[in-house]
Amino acid sequence: MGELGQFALRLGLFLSGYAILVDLLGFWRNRSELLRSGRNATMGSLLCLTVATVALWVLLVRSDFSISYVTEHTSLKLPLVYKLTALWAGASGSLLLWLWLQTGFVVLAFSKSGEGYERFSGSARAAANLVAVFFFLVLIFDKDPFGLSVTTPRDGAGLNPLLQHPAMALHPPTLFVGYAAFAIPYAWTFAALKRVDPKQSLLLFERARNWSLLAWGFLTIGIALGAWWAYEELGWGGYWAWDPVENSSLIPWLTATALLHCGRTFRAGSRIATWFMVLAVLTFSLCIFGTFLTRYGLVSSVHAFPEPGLGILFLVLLIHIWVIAGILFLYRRLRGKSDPVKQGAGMRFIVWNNWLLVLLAFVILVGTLFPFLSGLVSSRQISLKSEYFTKIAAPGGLVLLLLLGICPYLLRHGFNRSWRTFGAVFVGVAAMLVWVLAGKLAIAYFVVCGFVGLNLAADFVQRYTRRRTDGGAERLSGSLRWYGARVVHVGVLLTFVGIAGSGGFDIEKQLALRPGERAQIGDFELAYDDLKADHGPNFTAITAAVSVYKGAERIDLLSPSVAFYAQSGKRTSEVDVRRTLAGDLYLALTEVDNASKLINLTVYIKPLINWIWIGNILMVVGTGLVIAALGMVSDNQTERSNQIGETQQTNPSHNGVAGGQPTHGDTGNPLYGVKGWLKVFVVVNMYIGPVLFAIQTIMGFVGFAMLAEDYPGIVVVGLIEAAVRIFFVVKWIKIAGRLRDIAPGVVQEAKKWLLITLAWNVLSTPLVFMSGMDAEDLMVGAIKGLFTSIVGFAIWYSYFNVSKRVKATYPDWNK
Amino acid sequence: MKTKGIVKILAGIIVIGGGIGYFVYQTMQSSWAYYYSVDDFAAAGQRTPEQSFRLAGTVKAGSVVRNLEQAKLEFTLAGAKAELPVQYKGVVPDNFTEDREVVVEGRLAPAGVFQADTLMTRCESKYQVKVK
Repeated sequence: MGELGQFALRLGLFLSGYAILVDLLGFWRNRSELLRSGRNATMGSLLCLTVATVALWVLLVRSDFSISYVTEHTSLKLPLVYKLTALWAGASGSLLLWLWLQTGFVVLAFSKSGEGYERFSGSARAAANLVAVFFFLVLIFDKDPFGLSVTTPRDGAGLNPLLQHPAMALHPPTLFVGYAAFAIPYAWTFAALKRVDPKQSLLLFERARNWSLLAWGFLTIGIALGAWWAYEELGWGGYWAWDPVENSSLIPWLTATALLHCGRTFRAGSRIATWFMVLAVLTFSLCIFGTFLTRYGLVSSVHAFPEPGLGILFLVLLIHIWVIAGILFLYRRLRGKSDPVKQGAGMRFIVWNNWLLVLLAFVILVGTLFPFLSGLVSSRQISLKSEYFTKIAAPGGLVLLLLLGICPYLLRHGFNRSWRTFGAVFVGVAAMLVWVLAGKLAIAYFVVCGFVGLNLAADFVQRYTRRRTDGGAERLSGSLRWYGARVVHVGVLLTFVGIAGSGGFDIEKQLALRPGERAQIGDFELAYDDLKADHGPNFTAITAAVSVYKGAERIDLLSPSVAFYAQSGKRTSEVDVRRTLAGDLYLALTEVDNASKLINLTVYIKPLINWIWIGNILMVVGTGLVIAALGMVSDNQTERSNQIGETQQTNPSHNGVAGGQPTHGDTGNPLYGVKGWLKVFVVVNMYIGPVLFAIQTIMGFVGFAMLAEDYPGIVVVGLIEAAVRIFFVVKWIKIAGRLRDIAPGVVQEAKKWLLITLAWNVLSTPLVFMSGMDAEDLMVGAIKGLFTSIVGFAIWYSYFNVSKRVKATYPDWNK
Repeated sequence: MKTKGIVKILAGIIVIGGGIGYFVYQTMQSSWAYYYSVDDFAAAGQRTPEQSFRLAGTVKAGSVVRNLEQAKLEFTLAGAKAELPVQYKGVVPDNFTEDREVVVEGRLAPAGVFQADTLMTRCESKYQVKVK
């Protein structure tokens, strides 16, 4: 298996390298068979990567300790789910994951056939394969995931119990999805720069933008998960330490935020378009640089794991990217039109936003690299304490927040005499004064947050009243996009509220207590009641019972604990937290003396901290809404882009747009068209369904694996269900596509498959009972599932039978 | 007219850029800390800078004393050649144990004991493991 993996990697390297050559040659010479070969080679490379990834997974699950990666990151007793997540526990596995995801995304994004697309996709693929070649080289010659152990030990080293936490299991892959997805806008940029004609740059722009949205969303999830884990598990009451590893995910996130805002509209040749392109390349290279930083120990950090190696390859890759980008930008400049295309007047706010974000990212980057840089110029290494970052990021964040509040309005209406414009100036000045006079930046934050909240509320109200007076003439997709973006902004606002509250007004106390003693902190009084010891198979857990009093009333009982592992000498502590929207009361048991029952407690009060997590969730939900909205409009854009593509001269290639001349229904009928509920059905099955399925599968995965120890049957059931559901998901994607393209016979097909899906849902209900789990526990879930599928079927089956829109759009609906 | 526009932009950049640059510089001035390994520090004659600085070393086996009454931790920070006693009051990370690489930040007290404000331990075993 290991040799298979290694062979797959080498084959992948060859295919990627070959793909670069044929794609570039095909682009230059305009030969479509070369371009098709490039596309196939890239798909072949994806296949190789899939083989390699699956091979590594098999080795991990089998606990094959002859492979050193397996030995380093798993052990025999490790739960199954963590054996699987061990794929990304180490440098080589995560690089493999990144490359696999990236190649998959590239194949998805750049395989569109049709006039004009092939050449464009070819150069985009070449850019992506450039990166792939370097990654392959690292995987083969430096960090080989399939390297052999020196000797085959009987058991592996296992995973640090601290890392055996769902948030930590999901944190790396979500980040890597983000990093890999940023390859799409990067590759698009390289392809767009090569096309001298500005109109050509529009090709596939929407794709690049949508992918950057997806990437940003996942990056946000990844960072949030990391912060959440740090807060829950590390016991220091904090969630962000400005460590180089943390910063290397934050810095690309900042430039990516700027990237997103540049993607609102695209006018080829405008300055915003240039910003978008530069930011796309910048963000992706920062992702690569960040990985280089953390894996090659450029900066010493408690999280950086310097492994000597060919780190230089990453640097060489970055140099390649920027040299080529520089040449392309110059080329475009020299050969393109000299007058810049006029862009909207409101764009300058986006430019301010961009500058601020890029500046912030730069300052954080410099701070992170400071020890390295100072080591170059002086004999001693100077590191910057985390204060540096907080002192810079906090005011910077404040300005960003203010811009967030006012710029969307200014974008539309400019600097007019409105309470908003005056309010912004007033609030800005007030915040500064408050900061200087009160000395507390957090209060200034609250002032600005209040103003931004008002702005957002006003936005919602105005939008709602406008819709009512306009008579609801707006398309679902347009307003969904607007609402989604607003939800993201609300999420950002709430996150800042949480950060300001917990950062500016937190209290920390170190207590030494004997049983019966009490201590005061904030509004609470803590009474240390007693100590309890539990003995497990390889550990002893000591739990302290601490009652929480507010005034005379006992409001809570908290049980922070410490577990001592006799065999390895390790200890882990579990904090206990009293969570409310107003704040957290966080208890960490740091020291215990069993004899005297004397304990050391570290207590934190963190006001408003839960708003950070709420805000993060909203940011992701909002992003999902925007992506869904954009998914809805992409069909119309496709037709428009096709028209542009037709003016291209390429060798006759088969027109890949589905259905040259579909049999349309009554086009005169106002109800005609894939709109309304029909469109909802299509979008849900094509985009939302698969995403939900993926999430459900992962969560189910985790859940199943946790139960697998006790109920091994559930693994089998789970795999069967997953396999069949994949089949159904793919089937429904196809049907939805045919619905969208108004293919013949699709309504009958849809009805038939609705029936088949229902049949499967009903028949598979008893499956889960065969896993051996307690029937009572499963009953509720099974009934819920059955009910949902029956209702869903009833609704959609009737829809396809009675809907006037369906009858108007599909002429053969009743055949 | 055109020069006027350019002058305005230039002036804006200088003012804003200068302001930000000055601000960043000031922040840096107050937040930097020298980073030494214990051996380097000893070799440099144990001269203490005015501000707090960082020391990196390993926790010497057998030197860890946990003073529960005062919620204080004492241990010896060892390098390859030199070592230094350390006192720390605060949250102790779970993975703090003997032979662990740690970084402390603080000042050297007159008695020759390092008073640490911050204690950071190297995250273990996720990426690099010594397999026994």
